Amino acid sequence: MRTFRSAFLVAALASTLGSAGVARAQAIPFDIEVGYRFLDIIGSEESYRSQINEREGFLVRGIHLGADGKTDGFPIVDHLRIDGSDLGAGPAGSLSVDAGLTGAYRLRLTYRHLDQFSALAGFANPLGALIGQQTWDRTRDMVDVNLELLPGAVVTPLFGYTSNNLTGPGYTTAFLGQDEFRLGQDLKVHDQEIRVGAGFHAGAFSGEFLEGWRRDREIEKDSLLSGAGAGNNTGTVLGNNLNLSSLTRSSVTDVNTPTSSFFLRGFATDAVQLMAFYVRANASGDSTDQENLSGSLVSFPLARFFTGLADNSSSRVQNTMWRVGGRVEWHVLDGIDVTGGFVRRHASWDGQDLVSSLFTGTTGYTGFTLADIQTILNAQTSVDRIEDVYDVQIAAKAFGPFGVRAGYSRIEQDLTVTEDPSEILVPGGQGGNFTRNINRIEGALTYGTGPFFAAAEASWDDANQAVLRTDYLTRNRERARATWKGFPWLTIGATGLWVDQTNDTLGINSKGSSRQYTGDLTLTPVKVLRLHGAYSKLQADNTIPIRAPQDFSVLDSVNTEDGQMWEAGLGLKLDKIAIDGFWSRFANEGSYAYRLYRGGARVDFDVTAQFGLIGEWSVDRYLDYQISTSSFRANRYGVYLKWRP
Amino acid sequence: MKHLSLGAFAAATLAVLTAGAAVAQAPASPAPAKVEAGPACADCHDEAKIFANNPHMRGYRAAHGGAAGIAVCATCHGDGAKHMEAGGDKTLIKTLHGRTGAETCVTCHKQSAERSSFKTGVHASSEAVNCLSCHAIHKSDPKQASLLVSAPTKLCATCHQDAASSFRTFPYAHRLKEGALSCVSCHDPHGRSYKHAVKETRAGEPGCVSCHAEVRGPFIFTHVNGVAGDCTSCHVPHGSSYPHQLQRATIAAQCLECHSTLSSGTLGSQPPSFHNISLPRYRNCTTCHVAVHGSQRSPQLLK
Repeated sequence: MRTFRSAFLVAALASTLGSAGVARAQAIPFDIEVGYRFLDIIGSEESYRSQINEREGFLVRGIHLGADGKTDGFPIVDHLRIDGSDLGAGPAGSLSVDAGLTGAYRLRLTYRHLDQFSALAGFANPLGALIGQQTWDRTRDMVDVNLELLPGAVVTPLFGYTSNNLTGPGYTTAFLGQDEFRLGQDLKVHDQEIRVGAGFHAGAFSGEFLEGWRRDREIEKDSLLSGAGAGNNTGTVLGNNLNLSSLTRSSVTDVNTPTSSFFLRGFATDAVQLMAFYVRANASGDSTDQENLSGSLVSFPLARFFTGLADNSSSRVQNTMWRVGGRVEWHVLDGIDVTGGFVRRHASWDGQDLVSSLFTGTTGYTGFTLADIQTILNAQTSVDRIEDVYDVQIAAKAFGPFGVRAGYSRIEQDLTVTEDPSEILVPGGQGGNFTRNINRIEGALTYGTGPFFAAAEASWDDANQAVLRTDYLTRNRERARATWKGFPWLTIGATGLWVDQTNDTLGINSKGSSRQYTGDLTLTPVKVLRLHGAYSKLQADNTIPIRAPQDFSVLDSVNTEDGQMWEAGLGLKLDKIAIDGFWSRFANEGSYAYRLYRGGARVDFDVTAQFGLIGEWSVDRYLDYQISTSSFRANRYGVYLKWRP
Repeated sequence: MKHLSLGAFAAATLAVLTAGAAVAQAPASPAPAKVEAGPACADCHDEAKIFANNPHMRGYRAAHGGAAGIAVCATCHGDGAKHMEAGGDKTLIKTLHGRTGAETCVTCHKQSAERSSFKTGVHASSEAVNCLSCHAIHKSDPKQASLLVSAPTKLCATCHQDAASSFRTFPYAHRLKEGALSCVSCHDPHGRSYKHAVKETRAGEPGCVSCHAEVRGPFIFTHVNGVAGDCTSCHVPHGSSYPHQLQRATIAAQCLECHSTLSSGTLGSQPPSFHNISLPRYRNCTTCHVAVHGSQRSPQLLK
């Protein structure tokens, strides 16, 4: 994939730059920023990479080409856009192409590259080392291509291809007896879909049919890390030191998912639009897994020690999803619209897993040598879920500066889970039939006149019961915002968000609330200078009782956030030079106390009309008061050349 | 080799397209823009001169056999004869502002979809918020697609300051700064209000799995993903104080809030008693339950 990515990027840049030469003569809008970014980290590089991950290296900071014109000369393309950002050192780069010939075709291509890193020594990692479970350094490359032929014609053929490729090393753990052993992990996930279909337009009716074939292949290979054979448990089990001398694990999963979708819309009258849709996806997955290990180990379910294990599993899962529904949009009067709809969603999972485990070199707890033992697990699981959603909404916009929207929706969920007995940790656990109905009333009011804009919106939910313990019975969400542009040099904005949810069911008694207030001020005292300041306050408080497994005592799980952020920025634009800078400080004194300072500056200097130089600096300083070794300060310096032919 | 051939294909495609576009400009450049954009309007209005490079002009040409004069301006602004006769009297020409201006847009952009509608979506045409709040027909940002006034994330932040602030505030958040992701990667700005206009996959799965394909499944031993609750049961998409954008500061709190027998009739089993959460190893459930999003081979999500 790295080869593909490199070839793709080189091709994209070369062709773009090549055409830029022509563009120069043709006055096609084109510009590119290319340069190098330097990185200087003090403190935890792992924490920095887990949060930000801007690396040192070459970077195409931005690329833009836009061409739009007649087709008299070269009737293949009459419009083309190429937009790209942060290609190269990443961590999140993209390139998109939108090209077409009016009436003949339209091609849209998007490429994205993401660097994904996680290594958090102090979080979810009792091994006390950086290399533990949920640790990885991977890349994700995504390509999405859509081609529409004869746009606007009665029938428009549609073709599409999507690829999502995740690869790279990682680390995980194997849990054996009372020990965790660190494993190296090599993961390759490639998810692809090909789509073929057609859109149609016939008088008052139009629609689309699309058939897709998705294929996902996941290959994972794990092996014991060098030096990790002692595990993390230094104690003995019945006088025996447990250790692992080798472990290899290999698994392959293939999922095929044909997906069919059909959408039809039509105008019954000029004022009434009707829609109907049906989608069906049928995922079929097969998985095989082999694991071999040797060492001195213990199995509590078998009540014996063993020296080797050969584990083989093969599994199959079927997941069928369909939804069907319809909507009506009725333009009642000028500025008044009513919409209503219904959709039923159904999803079912049926899984079977056959696991054969051969334990060799077994001895009883008292030291007697016993025969090899083979265990077979034949697990069956199923889930069936139906969800019906009804909604109706009225929008009134013809009241001068006021706009009003009000709606009601009802969601009815019915879930049946049949778990395998092997899943249940404590009897009576997690199967059964669950239903939940939610009634939601929502509304919004906007007011806009001259320089003033205000909006308020709210939704009030009322549910009859919970399926998950964290589900609410009542939830109120309200937001208000206002902006005033009283003078050409002044903009003031403010937002408030209030969310409250509760569930007073016996044994749940959960309460949650959050508040967020944001104020924003922009000053433009002179045309070339822009000053910006913002303040944000966040408070959250959630409580729910939990049961401690070790002694079944009841505790309150409390999670709080109490943060304040200050921001300031400026922009100065003179004839040949533009300067932008920002600074922010966020302090959170909640359940996990930390501070985060961010700042940066960018100087953009036009040497000539075609060439410019850009200097960038940004800094992030993270102070972690829970795990001080996670703190860091990271400075990035970038120098870029700008070319605008 | 397969990868190389894909790269070569991409290179060839892009090269043809970009070269084509460049060549396509050749006749367009010397041609008088006024003729294309409507000479009468262009005499006074600079907007009309640059309109030759507007997708609306392309659509008009395609629909009317390539001819485009003053009529293309009249499509939105109405008959300008009296306006011109009166020497440019602004009251005699239709200008597109506010709700009524947006109503002009939806005379063409009127076709709705399952989850979105230009006319009745959450940002549909009121006096305060309408098409022209985000799109500029004549003066869009040349670096943005879809005639947007500015980059999507910046544009959304002008009203949704709370969400924008979250992305800038929290240490763990999706990376909007670089431009590979933006608000519209997950939300449909023309979507209906249901579920905050969050996009889904075509099959109806949470939109998150469009990128995070490795947690898409289906899994034999499935966890939260869409069965009851969804990705947001554990993760905060707009940013979190906690690693992996989790809802809670510790893994134990995240898991035990659901996995408890304190309440009857809810989904989620209580861990057995050897899970002593006073010890670090049991406070971090994912040390052992590494396949927390679902597993094909371990009933307890151990691998």
